[in-house]
Amino acid sequence: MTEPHEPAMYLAQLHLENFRLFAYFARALPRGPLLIVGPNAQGKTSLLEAVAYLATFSSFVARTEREVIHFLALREPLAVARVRGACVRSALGNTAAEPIRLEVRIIHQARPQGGASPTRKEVLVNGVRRKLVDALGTCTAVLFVPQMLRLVDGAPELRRRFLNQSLAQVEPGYAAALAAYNRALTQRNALLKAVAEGRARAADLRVWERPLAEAAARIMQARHRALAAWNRLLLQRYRDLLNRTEPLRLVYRPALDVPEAPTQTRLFGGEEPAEPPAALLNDRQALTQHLLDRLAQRRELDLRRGNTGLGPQRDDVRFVAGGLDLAAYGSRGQVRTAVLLLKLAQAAWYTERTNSKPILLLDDLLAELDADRREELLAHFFQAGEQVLLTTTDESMYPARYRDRTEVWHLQQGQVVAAQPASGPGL
Amino acid sequence: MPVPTSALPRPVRALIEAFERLPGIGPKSAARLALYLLRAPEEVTQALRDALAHLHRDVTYCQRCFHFTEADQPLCAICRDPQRDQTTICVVEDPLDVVALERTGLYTGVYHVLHGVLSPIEGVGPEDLRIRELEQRVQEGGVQEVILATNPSLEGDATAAYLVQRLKPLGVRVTRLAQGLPTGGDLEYADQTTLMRALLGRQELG
Repeated sequence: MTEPHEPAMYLAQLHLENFRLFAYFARALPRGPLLIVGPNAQGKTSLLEAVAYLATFSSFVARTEREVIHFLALREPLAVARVRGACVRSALGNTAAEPIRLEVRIIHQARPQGGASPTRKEVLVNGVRRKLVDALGTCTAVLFVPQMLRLVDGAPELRRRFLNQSLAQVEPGYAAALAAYNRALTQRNALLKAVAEGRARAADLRVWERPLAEAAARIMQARHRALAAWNRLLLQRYRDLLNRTEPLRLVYRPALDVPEAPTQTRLFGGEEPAEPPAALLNDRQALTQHLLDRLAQRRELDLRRGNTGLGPQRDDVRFVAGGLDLAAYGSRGQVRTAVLLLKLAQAAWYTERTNSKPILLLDDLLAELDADRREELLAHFFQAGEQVLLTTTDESMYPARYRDRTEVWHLQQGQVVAAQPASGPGL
Repeated sequence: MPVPTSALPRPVRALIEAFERLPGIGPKSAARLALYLLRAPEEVTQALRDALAHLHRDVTYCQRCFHFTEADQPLCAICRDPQRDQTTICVVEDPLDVVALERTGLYTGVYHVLHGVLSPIEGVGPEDLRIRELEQRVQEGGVQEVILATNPSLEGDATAAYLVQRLKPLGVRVTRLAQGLPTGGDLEYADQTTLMRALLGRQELG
């Protein structure tokens, strides 16, 4: 059980305007576990998504950010969804820390002439506008939604987005490097097109490859280090949770354009992806130079393809256990457990990096797990975070032993229709 | 939103639409400006009319540095000034950057205005900037130092890198403006990128 005085991040207040089905919502949050109960489509997931916005300023769930704005607000020429929260990072020994007021605005402005009107975002810290990249890290949260099960076998794009949202919260400079990389990549790709059409010379590509390689090296090194740390934590703390024999491992597949080591074929036909070139990934200068060389070498190839064929926009990560790639060989239960283990590792890593436990947002965690596994995983999650927000459609799935320490909200159409505060001591 | 045809006479609508094309002017400001001019005394509109009429007729580019100059002068005031050090050229993106550097009162050399930065997204390549003319100035001799003062953005940096590539073989000293914290700024409020650049460009004291 968690020591009550271990430093943790928590949200004291949550305030929503025009966010999904919440025209208006304002409520104080408990510092410990909160169970949000209600039938489907009452706003449970949206509440967690809103809290996650305060940590990543983006949504893992939404396809376009426009969809998080309340549909009635969208009828106005200027529609603004607002998520506000008071974040507290409690210090050691439970001293009262100053809350930081965070506000994220998602703004959609209709164009009078019609046409695509972009959605933009503003972030305010204690009432002052900040650049998104500078405000990241103010609030740290780990989100699980059932859609994330696709992380294991879905498109690589999902895994990259997950990595980016996870790293940006705690890795200083990561989000800025990502923005710089994307900008340089767009420039190089535009120039590739111009060269292919005879409007520019291939030699001019060089001036874009230097900033591209520098940003790429930062991003790839950060990804490599984070995945190595997660693997260490998976091995140390969550070794036996997946299949009682071998721990879950995440294998980084950086798009470095190096000849791949042969994949090891295992006894029962499974294939274990090759390990990434750690020596290169650990040396930023060598990595930058490698990328610069490869970019120069593959200009001809990239010209024909019309885009840049290496770099973090093509990275991937594989989930491996017992020598098997779970994307191909994992059972449904294994995939679910693997993603939950990844979340535990992420939370433990945040705690190491920030010296305080992150907020945990667990949507429908209890479903599809048998009672034993449910209790086992919950115990780990309550260890990994202090403020743990869980949702369920079926309150009876929540283990009785945690009940009196947990605040319970019954949610109906975006309203808390009944609430029971925790009666017992904290976890 | 366009003004309904019935609401105002055509000349007023035409003026509103002309204002709306200007950067930073929305439909409301455009309408306010147009109505102001309609009611303003004759000398206000006359002054504006004259200024606009002279703008293109009487302003052209300096033949040496491509800063603005008056039409009857092939060279701009800075290039004509015998006090200026012709061996040092400061390369900037835009004429407004000349204005900013001149305000320091510190720089005694001359300028070269590129009129933009490399940006393949917008279709701007080296031949769209005054880069060939800069190379010519350096090749003609007498230039000892070229200071690259493009903005510290991705495109400004890439343009500077391109210019280094072109100018270094000509045997001239090439320098770049120092990058870092603004004076009077507060470390706490500096953004990450600025702080990182300042840290990398730190200088030894004493």
